[in-house]
Amino acid sequence: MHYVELEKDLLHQNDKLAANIKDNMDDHGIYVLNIMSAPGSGKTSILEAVLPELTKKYRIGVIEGDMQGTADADRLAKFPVKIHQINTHSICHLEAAMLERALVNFDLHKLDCVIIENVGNMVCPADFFLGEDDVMMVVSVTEGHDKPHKYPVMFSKADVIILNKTDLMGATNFNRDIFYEQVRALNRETDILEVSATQGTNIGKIVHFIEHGISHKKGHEHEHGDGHGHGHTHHHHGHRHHD
Amino acid sequence: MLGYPPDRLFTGCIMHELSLAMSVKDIVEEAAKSNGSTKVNEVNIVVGSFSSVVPDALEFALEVAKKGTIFENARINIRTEKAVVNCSECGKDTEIEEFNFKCSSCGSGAVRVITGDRMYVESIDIES
Repeated sequence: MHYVELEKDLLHQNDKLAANIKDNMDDHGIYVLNIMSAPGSGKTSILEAVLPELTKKYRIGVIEGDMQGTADADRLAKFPVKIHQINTHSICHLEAAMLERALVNFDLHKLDCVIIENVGNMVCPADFFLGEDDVMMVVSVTEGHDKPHKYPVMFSKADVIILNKTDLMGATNFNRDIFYEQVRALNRETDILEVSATQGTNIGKIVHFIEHGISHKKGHEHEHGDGHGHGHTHHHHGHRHHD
Repeated sequence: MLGYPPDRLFTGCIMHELSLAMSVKDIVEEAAKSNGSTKVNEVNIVVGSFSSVVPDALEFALEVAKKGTIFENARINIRTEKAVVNCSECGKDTEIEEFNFKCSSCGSGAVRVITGDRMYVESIDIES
């Protein structure tokens, strides 16, 4: 009998791969946005709403994560973006290893931004860092105002929260005050943008958030011409990037 | 997966825990090998309460993952670690309940998680 202390993190392998992806993206000055939400919150509709504006100025790559099929990728095929579909089959989230393989399909010298549409799921994607600069979480009013309390991990990790389908607010019992209070208990700093993707309401705010991320990343690249050791990562309550 | 009772263990994404169970397998196998052991008696895992993992589901996934491995007959102990935050206003470390990020002592929201956000293999007991 021999007792061995290990202290080895279960997400170590994923986090290590994700950190490599982050370094690589930093070197190329590419802003990476990871969009997470429940199924049907409007991730793809939001992309359909922001891509016309974003593609006027920037070269965008989109990675679609779904269990099966190419429905979302097909919806975005009309935009001048490079799209890659990942099918996870039975897996409920994207992992860094999947992203690493997907990125082989892109010419990183010809991109300003990579947008990852994660598998629709409020639980699992939150645990897997993919090397992104920001996490955008989408939640729609039809899901109810009590979701932050029920899915705290994802809400606490979001750099920006999009409250979608605000045009349907009157048809639901969604309570804005309770929603904001629950979000603030988990995440004091995140921006909450109220939009309607299908009606085009406040889409400019999302475009602005992404543009800000892209230009910040570009500026950052110029400051550090060697492209190493940027360490520009967000630490939310310090629960990411385990070593 | 349909047809089971409405329990996260079966209807939720067990694949999530299975991914993590495979990570446990890699960690245990590598550690046993580097310590020159061929049999693992016990695996001790810590799951922070501020993680998306259900200990029961991880245990279930590990039953699958350990088949045919060096720790096939090992006892799996999963300990849950409470979330503790440090308050930058009053300086105290306090436990938090239900993911409400507030200092339990002074009520300030200026807190930082110090434990309970990790999942890790703490130790293993091996035959040397």
